[in-house]
Amino acid sequence: MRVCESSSNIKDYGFPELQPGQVIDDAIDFMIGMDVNTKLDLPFVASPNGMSISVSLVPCGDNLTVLISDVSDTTEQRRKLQQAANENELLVERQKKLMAELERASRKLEQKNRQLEEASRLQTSFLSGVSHEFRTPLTSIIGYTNLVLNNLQKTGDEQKGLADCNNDYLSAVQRSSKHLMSLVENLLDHGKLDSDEIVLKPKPNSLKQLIDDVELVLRPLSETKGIEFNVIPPYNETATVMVDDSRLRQCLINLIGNAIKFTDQGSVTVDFNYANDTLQVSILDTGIGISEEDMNKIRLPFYQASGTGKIGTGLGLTITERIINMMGGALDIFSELGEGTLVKFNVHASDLGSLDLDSATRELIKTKSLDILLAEDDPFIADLMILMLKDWNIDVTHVVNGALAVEAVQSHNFDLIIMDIHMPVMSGYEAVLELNRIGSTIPVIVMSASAVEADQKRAAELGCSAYLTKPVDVQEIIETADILLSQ
Amino acid sequence: MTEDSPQIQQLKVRYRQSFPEKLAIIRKARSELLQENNITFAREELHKLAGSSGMYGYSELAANCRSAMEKLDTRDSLSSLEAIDAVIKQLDSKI
Repeated sequence: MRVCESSSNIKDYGFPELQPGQVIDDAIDFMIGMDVNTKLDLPFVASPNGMSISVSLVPCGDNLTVLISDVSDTTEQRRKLQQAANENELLVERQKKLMAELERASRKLEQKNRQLEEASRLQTSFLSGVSHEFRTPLTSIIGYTNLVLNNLQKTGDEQKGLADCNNDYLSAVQRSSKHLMSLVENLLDHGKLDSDEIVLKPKPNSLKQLIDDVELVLRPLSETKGIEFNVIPPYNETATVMVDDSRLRQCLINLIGNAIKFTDQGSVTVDFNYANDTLQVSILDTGIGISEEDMNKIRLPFYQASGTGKIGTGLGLTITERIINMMGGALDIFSELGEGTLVKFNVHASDLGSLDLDSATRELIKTKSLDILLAEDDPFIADLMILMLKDWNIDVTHVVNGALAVEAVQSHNFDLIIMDIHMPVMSGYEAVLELNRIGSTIPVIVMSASAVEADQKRAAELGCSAYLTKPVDVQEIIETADILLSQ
Repeated sequence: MTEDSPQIQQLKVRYRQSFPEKLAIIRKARSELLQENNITFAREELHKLAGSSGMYGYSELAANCRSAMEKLDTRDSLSSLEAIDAVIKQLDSKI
């Protein structure tokens, strides 16, 4: 067997250089007796890349080809196989993940679906509740009006004694109309809360007056039901507090009204505590209580506890809680079915001391000439306020920016400053800072269209005496001025 | 003096007469918001309008202005524009 041709890199594999025509067995001894189509592994011979090699004799036409190969191909194949296996494993992992995600999404979808179904059910139940609520007083109004009309048509002897009767009927009509009105107001409030349209308007209020008012409204309700109604005022009930009285009254009437509504025997006790600018109220009743299931849903809009036999809109508690939150407070409910209910809430209400807010004091302001500086850049607002304040015997000096306000204070002794926040040249806040710097002690009422809590907080931090949200009416300014100037 | 006094009535008329001017300003604010993202100008003008309209008894307009201001604060361009459009529509209807 002679060499036809050889590759140039044969030496790299440890073999001698072969010349065409050379007898191969003389050059490579291990080929002696080697069979065609067999493969001879040479583990002790290394290829240039350090792999052990193998030799094969492969027929190629009339010649034989000596194939010298290392195992790198196999390695590459193994690597590829390993890579494929890894990728496969990754695919399986990914598939598992996708399946899990799909399952999660499916669960979420199911949950959303349940929520939608619940919302739809609540809406339907709300509509039927509202319809019922409307129908009851409307039926009463129509019925009693018919009775009055019938009475009015009667003549002669028949007319005798009907006046009292008509009075009773008309009182019933009035009661039902008032009930309808409160229902509509609840619905409107709920809509307003959803679109953030409710703005709190804190103003000075006598705590005692507030508590007395609420008691006056609710006592007849408890008497009608024959249950005990106890109101425990705070020891410092003479305090004057800065709070939106109309919204606080709404919350109290709703929560105490609920306690009376769901208590058929026993008592309802309302305990007021006032300390550290916070009014705390707890309402304890011996009524039917709330089941665990209802407790989880009772704060949802339109939800009404089952099996109570009482009908409402299911909005009262939702509205009340949101207003309490707006007032910087929180609402807690503790109850068990058949064991009565304890409702506790607190709201922020700045302490303005024990001040008399009666009309005599206000009259004093009216007769006492006051000198007020009004810093307001909007001519429409300024003109309106000047006109209204002048009616209270108040002299108003008007400036259009904070810098002019500071200048005015330096040249004149005012009783009070009413300061807008957003003004050109120098803002109201900057002016108050400057006034603090020069040592002014004149009380400042900040007035702004912004009901944002941060603005109110900043005014308080700067030492402003009060913060009024526009639109302000002159009565509000007078009451605030009254308190500030009496201190 | 009551709110029906001639002087207050006169002020109310004067305020109402200023609506076309206020409308033009709010339209300008809308356009600047849309083209230059000028939130400050829109907020300032809405703030002014919220204050004065509330004082003159236009409580719904004042509430809409406040709502638009809140939308501007959330930097939600689309709902801000919608809220400003509501203010424009309301002002327009009063002219």
